[in-house]
Amino acid sequence: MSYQDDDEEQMGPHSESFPKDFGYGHSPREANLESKPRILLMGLRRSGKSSIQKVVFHKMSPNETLFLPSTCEIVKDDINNSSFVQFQIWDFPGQIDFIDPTFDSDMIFGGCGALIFVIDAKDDYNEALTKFKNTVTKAYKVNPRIKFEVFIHKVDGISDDSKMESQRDIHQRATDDLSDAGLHQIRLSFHLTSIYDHSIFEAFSKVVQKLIPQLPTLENLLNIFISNSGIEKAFLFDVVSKIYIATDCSPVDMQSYELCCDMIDVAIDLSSIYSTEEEAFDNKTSSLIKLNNSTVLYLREVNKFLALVCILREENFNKQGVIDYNFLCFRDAIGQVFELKIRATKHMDEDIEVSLMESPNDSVVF
Amino acid sequence: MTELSSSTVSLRICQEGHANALSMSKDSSQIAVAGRSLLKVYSIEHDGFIESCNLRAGKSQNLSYSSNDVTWCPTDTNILATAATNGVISIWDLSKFGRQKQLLTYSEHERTAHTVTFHPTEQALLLSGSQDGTIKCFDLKNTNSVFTIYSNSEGVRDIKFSPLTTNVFAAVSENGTVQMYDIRKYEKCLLQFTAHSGAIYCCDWHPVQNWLATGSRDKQIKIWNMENKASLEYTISTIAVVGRVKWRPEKIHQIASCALLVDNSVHVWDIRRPYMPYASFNEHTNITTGIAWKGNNPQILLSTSKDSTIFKHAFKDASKPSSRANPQGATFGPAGDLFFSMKLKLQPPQQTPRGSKVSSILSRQKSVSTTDQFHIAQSASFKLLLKPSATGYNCEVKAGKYKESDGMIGCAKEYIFRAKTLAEVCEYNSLVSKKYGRHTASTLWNFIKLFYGSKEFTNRKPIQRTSFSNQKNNNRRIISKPLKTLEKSESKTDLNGSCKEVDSRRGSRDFDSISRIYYSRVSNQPVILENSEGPFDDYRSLRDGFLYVGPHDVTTALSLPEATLHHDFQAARHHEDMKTDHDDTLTQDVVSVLKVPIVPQVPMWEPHQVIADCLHLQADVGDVQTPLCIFVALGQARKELPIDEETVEFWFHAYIDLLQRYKLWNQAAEIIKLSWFQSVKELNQQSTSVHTSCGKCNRQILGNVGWLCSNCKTTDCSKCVVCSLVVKGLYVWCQGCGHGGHMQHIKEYFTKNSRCPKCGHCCEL
Repeated sequence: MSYQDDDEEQMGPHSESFPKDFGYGHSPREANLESKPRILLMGLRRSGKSSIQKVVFHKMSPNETLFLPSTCEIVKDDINNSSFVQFQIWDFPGQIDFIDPTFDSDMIFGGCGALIFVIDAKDDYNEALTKFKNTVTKAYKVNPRIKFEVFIHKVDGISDDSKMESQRDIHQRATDDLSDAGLHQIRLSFHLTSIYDHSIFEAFSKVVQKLIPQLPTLENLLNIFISNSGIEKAFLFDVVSKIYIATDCSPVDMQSYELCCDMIDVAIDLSSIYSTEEEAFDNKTSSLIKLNNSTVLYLREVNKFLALVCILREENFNKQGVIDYNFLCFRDAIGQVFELKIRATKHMDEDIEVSLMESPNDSVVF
Repeated sequence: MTELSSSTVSLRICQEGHANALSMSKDSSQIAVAGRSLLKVYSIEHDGFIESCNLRAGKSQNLSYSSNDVTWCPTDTNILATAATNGVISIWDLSKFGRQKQLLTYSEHERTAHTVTFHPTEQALLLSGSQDGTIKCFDLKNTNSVFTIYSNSEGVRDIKFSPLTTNVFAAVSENGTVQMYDIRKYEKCLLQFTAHSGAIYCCDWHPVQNWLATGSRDKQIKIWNMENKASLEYTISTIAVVGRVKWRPEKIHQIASCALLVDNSVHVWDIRRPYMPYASFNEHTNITTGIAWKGNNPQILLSTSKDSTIFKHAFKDASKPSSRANPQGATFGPAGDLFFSMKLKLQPPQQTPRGSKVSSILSRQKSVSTTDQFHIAQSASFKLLLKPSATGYNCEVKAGKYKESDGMIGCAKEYIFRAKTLAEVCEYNSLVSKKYGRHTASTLWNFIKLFYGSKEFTNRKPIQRTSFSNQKNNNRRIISKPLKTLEKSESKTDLNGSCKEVDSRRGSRDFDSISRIYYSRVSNQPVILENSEGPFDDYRSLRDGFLYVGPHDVTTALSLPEATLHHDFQAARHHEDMKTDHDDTLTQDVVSVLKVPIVPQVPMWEPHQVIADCLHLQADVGDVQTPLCIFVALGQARKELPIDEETVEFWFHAYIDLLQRYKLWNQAAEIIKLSWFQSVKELNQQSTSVHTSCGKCNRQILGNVGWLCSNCKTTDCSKCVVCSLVVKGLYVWCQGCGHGGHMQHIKEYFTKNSRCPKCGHCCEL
């Protein structure tokens, strides 16, 4: 594998940078902090909630999570300042009691976007399912728009067959329980996760994507971009957490996702060693890795917290100029999307979706 | 049937962009291919494809045309539907002209539309599935969707109508679930179950059975029986993420699949044999994206790929991986038994050799002609146990009674290295290791005895193989040797029974070599080894614990010229003699069998290499004792073994270290004495001294006298606690308190007291 690191490469004529206020801890944003979508992490004690949060958003090594103390109060983690996607993660202690009068379910479930319920696959999950049913029933009464996600966690410890088996069983029983309670309209999503591989990142990506209203637009932009640039697969990454906030329509393959994650790590590590700037990742960062199976990995910075990682065949990379130009168009379009979002948050009643489709300017050279 | 004779043809469809999907028209005369920047219709000709329509003539860069899926209306040959990456569903009418061709567009899906499918009988109805988790039903008479099913929060990847139950369809989604709906009662799904642990990318209904095949990211294709409740019928494990599946018409058990990544081929699987494709088409140079059978013709498969080509594959041109596979297998069990299984070959007719009594044995009855149904083939399995008397294996050995270390220590104590002959040494050591339940070691000693116990053999240089027949001979001999010591695991009668069964089934002595040997053993007939099916080809593979059994080469084996055959018989007769000799003597002396020099051909396999490998293996699995002891015992014969000096030296050090750790000083010293390495021999001279430290300053006492500390210039630490004089001879001390003195004095003192004379430490404890 040959490796070329083109960090701090000059970007040619298109060097004007993005408006810096893409929603990163900008002061007007702090005001409506409460309106930000909330992700609740719930589940029995010792099921791995805090570990998930630490590994995904705080870059903790999975092995270190063994020493995490158990959480005894609700830990609110604001993913606002460090990351492009804006939400709060509330990590609940396992032994939380809904009957407790201090538990304000209206407040908690009211502004909640997604509820992640973590079930330990290696444990007996009868208790977990009972608790899950209670939680979902309660939450649904307060806020019927909550997305319910079930993480069947710690699957690294069980064999492929039993993985399948527990997923089936949990799925079956959870849906049965809910239809018994008369809530068959609730949609549940199930994810098999483990903090020791990238499955937790992928599952979290899917959860976060559901909270991004601009997702269809982002996907469309990516589709246009890759079809015009001869790229096989493109991910739009949140650099800090390495979750992808959008990808094109072709199926996501675990290996390519892992490769792209690793590439971000490599690029950031190398640039923090050699970069003269303070920030390891800035708007000029780009990186190129040629794999020995005639595949090229190409990373471009979209803005301070977003990176586009593309996988393409070597022969298509001959037209790097076209790709770069298309990328700039793509970047502009994303900029417009998020400008709209900013405007939309300022004038709440403005309709985002209507004006969106006009904004991407997909001019293409061939 | 002209189509049967047609061969594989291909067509390059465009320069830029590739096809994502392919669909066959109702009358199987045309295909539609759709991709990011193309949508074309080709008519299938006998010798190729002719482009009949290009629906994307202009250079329009409209995302609505960048198609993910294309489907042909099953009732009207002019109607096509495509699903675009931006969620737009387009309906095309081929009978119209120009821009009119695009009949309708529905842009209702928020995210990418993955699949579109028409109702099998009602031409106006079609369903589409999208990444936004919805399934929408459209009526061509209507400009909006008829209804929307919110299936899941995950994307819907494929939708297929059931061919058996009208109005029922299956939808598979990215979270691994399969859902069944009835379009008349779409509010509630009929059935929902989790089918895979990863996203499901495709599904296909069996044309006649009520079976649904699903292909997933977990690299499996699963066949579900959809009667009442879904139950898993078959699972096929492929090597890559499954992209498309398609049942083969007219063949109940066959299904074609292509991968989404890695694998460019189209495989046709027989679901009853889930580990190896029945047939493969390997023409594509990039990932195959769409496959379709030509109507009801099971002989022709069309496929399109990311290499921008479409192929029409003739089934007769497919490669059959099973024909190249090795139908025999053998493996050693953990206790040293051998399991061997093979295909009971349906032999092609064979010319009968004349003028020899062997011919009767060689003759075979013409058996059932070969069919393409591989599963008819019968197979036989033999479990062979090493005969306890000849090896270390003994069923009643109280194995497990000894701990691993006990065995090591016991062997270390009892092994001998020098005796009158090497054979005696080996035999004795083999018994010793057997006693301690170390069967591998015992077997190895026996091996050594066999190979190096006799002078004739050791002096012989291994001769390389010269010809095929030579090799055959050798194989045969090799085969016969271990088998002499093998025995059917259950009992002789059992073996006899099973052999007879084979016998009656075939009506002739049509076994492969191994079964025949047994047969003759049991019925006391002379062994004749005239067939070399399943020879042990490469003894080097012993290292991995496997016996490699070479591929069937029946044609070569049976079409040998007369001379070779004759020659073979002679060789075989040699064996016969040897065998009788051996049986007569009925001794343990297996060496006589190995008096190979009387046979004109000399073994080609290299015993030295095998032994060396065995020793290496033994050392690798954590037993350095056996290889080292064998090496030491071998004496001069060790030079035959191709083991490099460094390894042996390393073994020496390791073993000596091990012995010393178990405080087997005597054995360690013996090994050091027997070694021929300078570095090992020196061990006896160096590090024999015990260093002492001064009790006051903790520095090591250097210099010639042991009682004077050169650092603090005192002799305090070496004074006797009883007489307070400096000890100049043997000094004994208590390790607990550090006080000591003259051996004599201390001895006397402790006969009366139990505490230290100086500090009152309970030294005797």
